[in-house]
Amino acid sequence: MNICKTILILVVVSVHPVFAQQKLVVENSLDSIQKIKTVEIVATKFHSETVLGQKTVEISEAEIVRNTSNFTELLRYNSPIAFKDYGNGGTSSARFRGTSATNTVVLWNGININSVGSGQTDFNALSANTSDQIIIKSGGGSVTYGSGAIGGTVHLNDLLDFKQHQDFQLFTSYGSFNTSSNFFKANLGTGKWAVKLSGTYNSSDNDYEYIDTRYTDEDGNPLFNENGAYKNYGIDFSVGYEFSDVNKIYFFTTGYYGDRLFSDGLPNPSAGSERNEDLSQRNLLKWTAKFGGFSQQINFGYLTQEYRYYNNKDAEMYDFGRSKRFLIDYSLDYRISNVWNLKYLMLYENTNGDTNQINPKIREALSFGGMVTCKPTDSFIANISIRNENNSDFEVPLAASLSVEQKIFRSIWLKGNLSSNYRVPTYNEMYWPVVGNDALIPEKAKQGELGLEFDKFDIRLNATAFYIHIEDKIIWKPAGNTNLWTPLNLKTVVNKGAEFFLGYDKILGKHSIHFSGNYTFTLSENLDNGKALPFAPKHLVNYNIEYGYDRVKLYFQDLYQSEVFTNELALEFYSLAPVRVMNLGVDYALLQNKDHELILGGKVNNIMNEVYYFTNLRPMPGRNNTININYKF
Amino acid sequence: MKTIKVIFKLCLMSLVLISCNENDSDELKEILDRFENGIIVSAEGAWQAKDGSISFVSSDYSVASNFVYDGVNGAKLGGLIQSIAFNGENAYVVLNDVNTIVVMDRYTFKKKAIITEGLENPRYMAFANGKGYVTNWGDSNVITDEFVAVVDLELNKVTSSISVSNGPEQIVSKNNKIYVSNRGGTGYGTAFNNLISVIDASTNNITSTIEVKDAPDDLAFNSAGNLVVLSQGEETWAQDNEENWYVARESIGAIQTIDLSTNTVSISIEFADGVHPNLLDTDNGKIYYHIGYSGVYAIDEAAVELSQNAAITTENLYGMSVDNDKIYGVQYSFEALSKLFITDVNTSSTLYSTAVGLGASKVYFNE
Repeated sequence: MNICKTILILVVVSVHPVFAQQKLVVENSLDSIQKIKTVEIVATKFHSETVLGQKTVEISEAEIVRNTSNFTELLRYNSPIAFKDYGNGGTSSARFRGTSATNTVVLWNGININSVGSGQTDFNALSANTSDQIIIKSGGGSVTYGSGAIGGTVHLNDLLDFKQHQDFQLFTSYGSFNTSSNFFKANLGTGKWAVKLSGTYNSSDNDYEYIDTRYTDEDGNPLFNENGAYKNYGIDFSVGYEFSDVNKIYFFTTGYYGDRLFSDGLPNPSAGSERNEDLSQRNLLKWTAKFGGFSQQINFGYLTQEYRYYNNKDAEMYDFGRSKRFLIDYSLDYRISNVWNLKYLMLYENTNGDTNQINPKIREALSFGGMVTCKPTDSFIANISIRNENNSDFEVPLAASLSVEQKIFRSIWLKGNLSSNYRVPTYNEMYWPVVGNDALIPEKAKQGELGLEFDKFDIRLNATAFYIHIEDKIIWKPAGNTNLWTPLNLKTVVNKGAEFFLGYDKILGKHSIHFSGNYTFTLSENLDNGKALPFAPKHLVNYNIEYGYDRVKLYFQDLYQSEVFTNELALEFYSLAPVRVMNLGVDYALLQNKDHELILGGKVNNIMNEVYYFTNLRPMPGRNNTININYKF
Repeated sequence: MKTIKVIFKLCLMSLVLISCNENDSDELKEILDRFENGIIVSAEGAWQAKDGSISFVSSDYSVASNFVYDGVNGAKLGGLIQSIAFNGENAYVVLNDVNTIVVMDRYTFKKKAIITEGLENPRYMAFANGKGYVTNWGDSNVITDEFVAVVDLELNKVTSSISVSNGPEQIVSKNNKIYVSNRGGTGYGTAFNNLISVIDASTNNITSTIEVKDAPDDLAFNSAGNLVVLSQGEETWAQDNEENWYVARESIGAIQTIDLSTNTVSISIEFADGVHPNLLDTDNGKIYYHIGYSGVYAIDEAAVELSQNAAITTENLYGMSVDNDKIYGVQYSFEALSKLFITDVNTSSTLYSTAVGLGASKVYFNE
């Protein structure tokens, strides 16, 4: 059996180097890690304290610059999330712990930015290269993040630092298929002011050869990824002013424009003619103040988002979907004592969305929440939270969460969380002409997780078992005797499994070693028919291993995804073969001192030139190369 | 340190064990040297999933095999199978969504060639005068770019195209003439059509057009060699100011027989208002047609009235062929495997049924 072989190889490859080289030693970009530790996380909306009872993985700047071509790729090699994308750079959606794309929420500085129409984020229609902090939080979070936070959340944060400093970064890369990723970042602090300005530009012809030799053109020649070119621009500006230590105001703004052609894949790439534009603009004003035992935060947000889809890229006619969202949220935190902490929160959100086929619709939501945190000793923390959303379109269930963390032995913590979460129906599901179903109700999830975390001796290990039960899952079904598909609250699904994370860093003299890896085991089942859910891999493994000596760093990235089914029939014919991709890269620090760091990098992606797919017959690239310059000063 | 090593190893070990316990799925995939004396069922697959498939069932029902093209060629067809056309030793599989025709040996199912240029939204194919003719909708939202592509069967390339009226669908040939049903209504809100185009295969010119009822689709020859046309009639929905949907335009469906010596309608049988038939075939002097939510009806070729009683009642019928008093039907399903059933018209008893590919839509006979 092929799959066994693949996995055995994986076992050998991954166990051997990790543990054989333990005595060698490492560093990661310590620089960036230390920086993050000193900076206040200003961005998270409802709480600035650490997430309680659940697992998080942070992707560092050092990891970002190794997978810059798109956000999907970055997360594929650094997070426990599985992705389904329509070829390299094409539409991409997340499956977190085996749940659906609408059960993963992406937050920009604490604000949900999933599309109003589809309820998902296209991970190839936003750029994360200029984010200062990327956090992957597994598990339910509707109490804090609202609708859709069931499988997990992805946080993109801009960090502002008031302390006197000036940091600049320039990054540029160029590689196969005329692929280029570029960004700059400037972070300044004057004591009173903190400013961040950054911009990014990414583009590619993306016309790679399809290395699956079973398919050729009319004359037997290889096929290429025609009509796959993309380019996108992003700019971020953030500013903070410190009236005093306890009284600060911040403003964040960002704009993004993406222009992509959608390739058609096999067997006939010349049939591709689609084009898609994405435009988004987001603004957030935040004020935080503390007085006595109280601290309060108020946010005003205004976000716009639009896509334009051209069935024929040469025609002027396009379909569009767009939304304008306005929100105010307020939170008040009261520290009763060293043991007890109370929080009250309120959020109002007004959404106005339309498409060329849906007249403008306004949806309003008003949520109230409360949290009680108890920390009687240094080795025990508990938190109870509830949130009640009143939505103009439907009844939303109460979201509740209970988190507990208990130190059980030295550096080993037991973390547990029970929560109920929800996902409200999207505009497309409710209002799409003919097929939309305005009788839909929200999906309801009940879930729990229990994990162990170990953090000492340069090792960070997390093992978490999870169980998610989702009722009234919205799925599209053919209606009656017609070819019209309509969404219905039909399914009950269960996702259960375990997530593992292992991080290891060591420096010894001039030697350094860094390892970070994720393994997710997931069983996803539709309880109505007992079948596995599509595009939810049972096994998902990725890891990065790096060895450094003096100014040189050699790193290796590995990804394994087990077979996935493309529908609920669970037959071999309707499945994608297991994926195994390996990348190898090297960085050399040309300059490395207190004020300047200039790193030259080179990387070979897919070194084994493997044929692999994340969607039926939309091949990913074969072996390809990229070189980059990363200058920080 | 040791503990971590053990935990990590254990988790990787469990991965191996779990994967090896999986059963290979029990899908039917029997590969024969020759897939002859039986029926071929083509399945569209799910929309945009590029998973159309072909099944084969032998005439004595002893062999039923799914996903046979994949099994023989080790690769997928890779599109939504709209239809299959047969000529000599070859089968031409028309993949609608990827503008492709895969040419395979009709008995071994081995791929011979692929046609990827000169097609846009291809639908059906017929043969005359040593050439292939393929109907194409073009851009389904544009009603003026429809054409019939002419295929050189030696080179397997599209060599020219014939511009035709809106919405060309089915295509058949007889005596060096090509008959195309122009149904229209190919895109959201586009106009319906009511024409049969006649193309002379020697000149590739349209020599006449015959007016029929709205939305002509299925075409079949009767025992006298004349053309039987099924017009579905128009049913167009629109939205009022309160966003409620209503039937904005409706016209009647009909079965019409065209006398090919004069190219005129000789028999016209109309359906009641609001009844839209959608499948038709001829066999043994009879015309069989299907009405959704009702069943398959049979009338004599010379009949001037519709039948009042269904020959068989069936649900979700998506495709139908009739041969030798047997109805070969495929039932609609896009979530589970479709069902093929074979029913004897005279006894109404089901002789055989089996699971076939997702979205099965057409049944062909491979003698």
